[in-house]
Amino acid sequence: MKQLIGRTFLCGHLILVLWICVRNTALLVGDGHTSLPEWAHESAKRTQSAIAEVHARHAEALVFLDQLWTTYEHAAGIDTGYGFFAPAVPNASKLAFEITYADDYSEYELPVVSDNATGLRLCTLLSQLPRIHYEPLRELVMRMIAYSVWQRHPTAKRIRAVVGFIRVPPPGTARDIDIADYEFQYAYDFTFDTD
Amino acid sequence: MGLQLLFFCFSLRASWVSLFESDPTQPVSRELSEAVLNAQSHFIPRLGWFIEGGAALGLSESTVLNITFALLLSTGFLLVIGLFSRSAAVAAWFLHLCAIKSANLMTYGVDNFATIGLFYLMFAPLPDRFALDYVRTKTPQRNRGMADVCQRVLQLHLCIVYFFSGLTKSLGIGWWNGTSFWRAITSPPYDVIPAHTWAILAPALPLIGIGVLVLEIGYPVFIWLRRTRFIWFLGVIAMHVAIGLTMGLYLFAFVMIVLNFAAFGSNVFPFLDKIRPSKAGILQRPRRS
Repeated sequence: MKQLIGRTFLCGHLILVLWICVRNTALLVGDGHTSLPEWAHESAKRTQSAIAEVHARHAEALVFLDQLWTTYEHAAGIDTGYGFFAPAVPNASKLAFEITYADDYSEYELPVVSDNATGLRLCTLLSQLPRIHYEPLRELVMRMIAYSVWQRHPTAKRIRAVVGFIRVPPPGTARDIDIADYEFQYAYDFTFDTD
Repeated sequence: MGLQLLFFCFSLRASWVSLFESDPTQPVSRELSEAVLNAQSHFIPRLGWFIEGGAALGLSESTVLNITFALLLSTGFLLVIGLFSRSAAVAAWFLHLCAIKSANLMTYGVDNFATIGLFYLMFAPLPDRFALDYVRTKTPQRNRGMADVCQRVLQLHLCIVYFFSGLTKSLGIGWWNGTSFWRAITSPPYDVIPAHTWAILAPALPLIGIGVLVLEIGYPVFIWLRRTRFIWFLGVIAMHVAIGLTMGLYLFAFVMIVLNFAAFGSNVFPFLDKIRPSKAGILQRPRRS
């Protein structure tokens, strides 16, 4: 009996893994990041909307169950799909700060991390930022990063966080060009009050 | 998985406290990560629970974080030597989960795969025959059937992982013409080897890109066929070794190799299943009867 329960649980677990992978693939197609034809994007979008609608219709009644479900996904490490570097490898992001003082003197700084492992994690965050569709959250993350810079420069009048991406040279020209190209994406201006 | 935990702790040893404490000089705070987590579910484990508990006992945030780090390190060590295997597996899974979820805005593949490995380890019949627990008590593994089921689930899980990883890559043009592979190895922070060194590979890039797709999409089929199992296993291990060495993703490479060995190691190298520790604790090959 114990074994049967164990096997049933593990079967259910695998079905959940499969479902999450299918859902994430549909999301990828729906977002239009793939080379599939337009009808495939539209179908994936319609499927997403249908699932979201069903979810929203029962969201209030099933809020507790939904939270338990999400917790299980996180606890088992299956909350995300496995589309690493898919369908294409994005350009690496770069973040720089322009720190302007009251006398309009400006200096530039890069984010400071204590070791390589944290640096790699910060790069992950920067590459994920464009995928945060909820703008206030994206701004909040940027504000926190800028705030950490302001802590080191409390007399600064304005901190401008500039996000861009690094365009690596194409394979053919890599022999000649050793410095990657940098292209502006977006910027946020933040002011912090000493009080 | 114990080694993976030790490497994880080692990689974050210098920044552990600064990464998780409420320090405004840090780029992304634990509070923000946990607030985002709250939006998904209030029940997802996090370090904030320990810090709140510690505060109730009068312990400072950094003290609690240092204790958590020491505990995580200890569970990794216990898993490596196989002492108190079950308790160590459960504690390791929980502490590791708390840590990565408290930094969930900065997590990447390795954290998910480590969680997957630790999750299955909790259910796996323990101790295995190399564990100190086994040498100490001489108690045979009680539930061999469950061990097989756990291994089968891990095998199927890896098949799903590789298939969908390959499938989603194949939906873009980049992996077919090699540009995605090129970007993966030359974009910061993965540019361990300078781009001009890789330039000699330029004509072979589409072939390498397609090779990755074939290896990943073909995994759920060719890893089961007796004739192709060895070559596929070797191919996947080689791919992960290359990812580790050329992109600097050592932890990711290591956890994937561990999971592949745990899932298919005994199928590819059947003699591994027969090696048993001697009385002195030294590994012995099976004798021919």
